Amino acid sequence: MAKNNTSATWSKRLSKAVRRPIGGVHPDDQKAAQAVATETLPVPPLVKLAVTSVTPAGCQLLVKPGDQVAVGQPVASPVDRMSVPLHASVSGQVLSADEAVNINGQSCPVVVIASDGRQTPWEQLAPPQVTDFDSFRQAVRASGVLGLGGAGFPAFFKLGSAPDQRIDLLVANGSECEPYSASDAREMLENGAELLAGIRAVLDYGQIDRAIIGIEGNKPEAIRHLSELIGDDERICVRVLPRRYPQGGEKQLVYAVSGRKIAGGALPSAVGALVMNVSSLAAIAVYLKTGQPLTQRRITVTGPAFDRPRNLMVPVGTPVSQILTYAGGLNGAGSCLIQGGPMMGRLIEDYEAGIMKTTNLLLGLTAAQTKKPAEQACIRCGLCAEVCPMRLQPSEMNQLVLLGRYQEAAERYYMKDCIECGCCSFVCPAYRLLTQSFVYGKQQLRSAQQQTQGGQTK
Amino acid sequence: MMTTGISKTASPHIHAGRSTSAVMRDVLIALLPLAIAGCVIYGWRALLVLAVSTGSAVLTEYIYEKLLHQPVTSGDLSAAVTGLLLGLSVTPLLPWWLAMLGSVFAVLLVKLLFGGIGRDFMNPALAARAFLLISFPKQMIQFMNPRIGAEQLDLISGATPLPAAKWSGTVPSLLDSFLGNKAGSIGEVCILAVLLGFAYLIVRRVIHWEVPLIYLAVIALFAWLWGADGWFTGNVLYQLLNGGAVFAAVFMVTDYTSTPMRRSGQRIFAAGAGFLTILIRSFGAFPEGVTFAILLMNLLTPLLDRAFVPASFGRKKHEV
Repeated sequence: MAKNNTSATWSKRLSKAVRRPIGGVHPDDQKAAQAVATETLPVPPLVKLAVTSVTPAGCQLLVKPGDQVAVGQPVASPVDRMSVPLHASVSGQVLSADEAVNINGQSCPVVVIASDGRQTPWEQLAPPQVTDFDSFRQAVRASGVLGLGGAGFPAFFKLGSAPDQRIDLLVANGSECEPYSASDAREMLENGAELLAGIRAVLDYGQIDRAIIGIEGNKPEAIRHLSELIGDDERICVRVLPRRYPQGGEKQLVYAVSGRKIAGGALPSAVGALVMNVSSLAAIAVYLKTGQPLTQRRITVTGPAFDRPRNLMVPVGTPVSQILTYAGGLNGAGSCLIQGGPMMGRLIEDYEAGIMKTTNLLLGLTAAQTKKPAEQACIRCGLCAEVCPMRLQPSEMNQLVLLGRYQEAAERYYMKDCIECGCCSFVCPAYRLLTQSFVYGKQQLRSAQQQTQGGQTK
Repeated sequence: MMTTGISKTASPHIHAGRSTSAVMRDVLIALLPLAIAGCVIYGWRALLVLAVSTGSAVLTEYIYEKLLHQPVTSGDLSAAVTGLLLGLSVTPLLPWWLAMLGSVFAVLLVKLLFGGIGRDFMNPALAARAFLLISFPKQMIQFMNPRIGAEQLDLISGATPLPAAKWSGTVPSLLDSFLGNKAGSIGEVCILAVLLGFAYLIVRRVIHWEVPLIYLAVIALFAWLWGADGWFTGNVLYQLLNGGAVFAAVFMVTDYTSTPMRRSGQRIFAAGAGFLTILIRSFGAFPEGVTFAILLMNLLTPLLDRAFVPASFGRKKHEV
């Protein structure tokens, strides 16, 4: 990989041309929500804050039932190297803090807070003292910001700790390639100044040379608005990306704007790049300016099962049912609710679960849209491999997974490099569960690895 | 099969909407001009052969799956495609029971017994054609003159243009060769109709233009190289417009199941099939080499698939 590349050689390679995407598909855009201004959801009677962490048990609870909390007060703080704190999103009383199932279907501690409706801010909120890279990194961690595009990788951890590999390029991810999603587009339109402030802060404290905001061509207003805001700041520019899913994938995005290739399993830092979602960058700027950590986020509520598209500013932890009620409920029998886009999102099974920092879209799909015919035999048309942005061989990998030969799928066909974008399953004329089988195959590989490691330590 | 852990409700939640039967329907539509041209040129005999071959192919699959209590897959239309392809690649004078036998052979022996759609190790229609050619040579090489503009009333013609060219008989003009005003197989004679089908398949993105062109280009090259009057004297257009080369280029060399999955392998497949076609035409015992050339290359498909696995994005080969 690119270990010997110094930042100088990388910089020379940065040209204005946007690279043609590899593979990818063209699902119907459905971006009607982009034109809808954000409303603020009324304060919910209670919130359910799921305490997730990057490593198992990476956070400890700071509150117990009966405690009074205020908006912005930490309810959990990290004890590992990677996790970030979680803050109360309403003021009121802690009802419980027990193990429960979160919106992703995972079990974790969930802090339930009954709101007093007053939204009293925590008295200790104050802008952080930032003087150098280390204090900036600590501030970003304290803000509680995660990758708000949906991946949820802690923002501070991306900045790096011991910068042995110098980063020369910040890529602000505004591509938002999933159909229906619009929260990033609204962020760029409504919070453009904060976004640019966040970019400048990362450039300044991270000593990064320049930033590229990558936006798909289906967001002309955001492109125009940000270009005007940037003005003559030569460090920042907007690149218009072709409208193609999964253009917003980290590897696909960096390749498009810089031509640098991040191999499977590698991070953007391997090629001197740092990728951050536009909403995350804006949230960091808000924290630097006001000390207000991430306690609310913009959610797009849209899809054919809703009467109209909406963008809502919602406290983190708001139960899905509250948002559903506000939006008038799901129409049509058999309609379902997806968290995230139709290509990579997850079916929500428990409408009482609270939304998380990473929930950017609640998508109501009709039964007709999600109806999947039974799997048929592969006809070897090869379309799956043609649309794979990672240049994998889904058909062959699928066969091996079905035979339980996960190791071979990884070694011969690079299955671990699958980014689970769903393109292969989307186009497969035999309706084969390709992506789904790789998710499963990778899980099997991980648990096999954990078992052998566990055996060695005994 | 260990499929229990694969989630059926996991993402992606939407689909592009094109199914196997939609793809096969496109192939049937692309074959329509060929069938019409064949019926116009040779009349009711052509229609009978096509109807029997297509119908018995579909029926064979239906009965087999009913008897074995398997889900009936006739709805995916692939058996209909196989039957129609077989009918289009034989003489209009083929007795109806041989057309039926051919379709049963194609669908039952080559496709169903090897696991059904997607599992046939060679092109079922071509395999059946080879079977008929070897087992019933007399009935398979009797061709008829076109119904239209025929001065002579005798239907049976001794030879099609290719053997005529090979063993010096009378040969039709290039225009007649292109339009199909000659003796030959039902769907192969009218090159114009084949090109119409080709255009439709390209527009509908069922096949890629590259593979048929490579096949025909290699045929052209070696046809020119190994001319009847010595090196570099071959009549290229003649070799392309007569026999089943163009038909096979569009509908056989591009078959999904029996050819490699990746473009790299497909290119080698097409080039190899083109080379073997002319090798058999020029030096073999049969006047036409398309069938055997493609069947031979079909057998190499698993090897070609294994030989060209590209590295994933950003990696060099064999670095996992």
